[in-house]
Amino acid sequence: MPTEKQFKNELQNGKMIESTDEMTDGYKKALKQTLLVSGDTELMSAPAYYEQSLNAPSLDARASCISVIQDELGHGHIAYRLLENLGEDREELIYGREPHEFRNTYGFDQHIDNFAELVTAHGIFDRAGIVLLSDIHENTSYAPWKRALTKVSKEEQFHLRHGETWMRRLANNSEKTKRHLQEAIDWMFPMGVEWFGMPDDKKKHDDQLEYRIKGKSNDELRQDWLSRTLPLMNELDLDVPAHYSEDRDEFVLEYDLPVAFDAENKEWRFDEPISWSDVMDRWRSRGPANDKYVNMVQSGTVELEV
Amino acid sequence: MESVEPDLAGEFVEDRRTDATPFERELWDMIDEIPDPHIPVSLVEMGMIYDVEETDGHVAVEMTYPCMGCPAYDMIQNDIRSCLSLTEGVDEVDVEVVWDPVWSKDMLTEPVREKMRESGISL
Repeated sequence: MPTEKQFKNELQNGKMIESTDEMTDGYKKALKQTLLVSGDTELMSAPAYYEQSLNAPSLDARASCISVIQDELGHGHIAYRLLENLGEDREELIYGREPHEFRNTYGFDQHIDNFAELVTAHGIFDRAGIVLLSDIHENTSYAPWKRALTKVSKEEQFHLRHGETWMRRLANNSEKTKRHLQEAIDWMFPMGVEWFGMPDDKKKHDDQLEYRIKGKSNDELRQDWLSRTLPLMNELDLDVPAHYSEDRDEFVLEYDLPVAFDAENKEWRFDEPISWSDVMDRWRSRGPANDKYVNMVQSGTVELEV
Repeated sequence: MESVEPDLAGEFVEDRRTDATPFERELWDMIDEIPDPHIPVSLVEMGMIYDVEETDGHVAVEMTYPCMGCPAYDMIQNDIRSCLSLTEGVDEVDVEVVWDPVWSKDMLTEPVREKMRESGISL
């Protein structure tokens, strides 16, 4: 085995990893953490999307929404299957953990309460997923994951388009549907901003980048997401606290990230700045729908055994 | 892996296409550029387009779906309509879903199967 420093160097120069005997312990640990967050996020989007998919306004919309759920379960399966190659037990990961042990993004710990919120999730949360996964697809040093993501990327494009189509319809249908859409955006847009985590200047070092598990930094990914999301917000005339700054040649937020979130009322307190360590604490203590969603997934095994 | 008769692959669609006028062939080629929303091949490659007929600017497209509950049922028809109606010489586009003959995997040619396998879709 090369030293950790040499190994990281080789990875930066394009070395690809196929199996565990080529990994250092540090690499394996960073890869497993990344895969777990990805798998848990895909898996937990399924129960989050479920109830409102059954509330879709047409049979065709319902078929599309259910298909999104089916895809997400498949994507979760891919991540857990890769974790199995790294020594984890798939059954244990899905059925053996307590709700608070799941590592999905905080956005999928929230209740999705109406169809406008569901299609906004497809339109902007799935876009966050695309930004993260397309970076991994393009840049990761772990070859089996890179190959598996070809199918995932294509399917996520479908979710995004479905979300955008329905957001357009709601924005143009009536005052009432437009208002529901704006209310969804009000809490979901900042959730998307926070999704990409701590700004680069707050991070001392980043194993995910050094091992080239992923290729882009948190700030680069957040900019990428903003650059793809803001044109849609402008097109649909939706208010969001962010804009493009010509002076800085980047997208800027109109509040001081991070800020407090009132999870019960789904309200961001933009005038209440907090620290990133507070955000980490909030994520770790999980959100209001965490128990319910994990139970929905885990209760499936009981029915099969009857 | 089920057995496949390679001769059948794409033959039904190819037959329909060879009857086409030069303009209709252009329209076929345009639809061949429309991606399936879920699978990395075009609608024509998927064997979902059965016929394209043009009479005095009126275009009739006959198509089918691989399954009854296609999650992109509307999306695909919208794509065909919006793609063709932008074309010069096309005034009106009708898309008809015919279901007959029933779509089958035999309609996929070997290169298309290979593309699907490469992206992780089992056949």
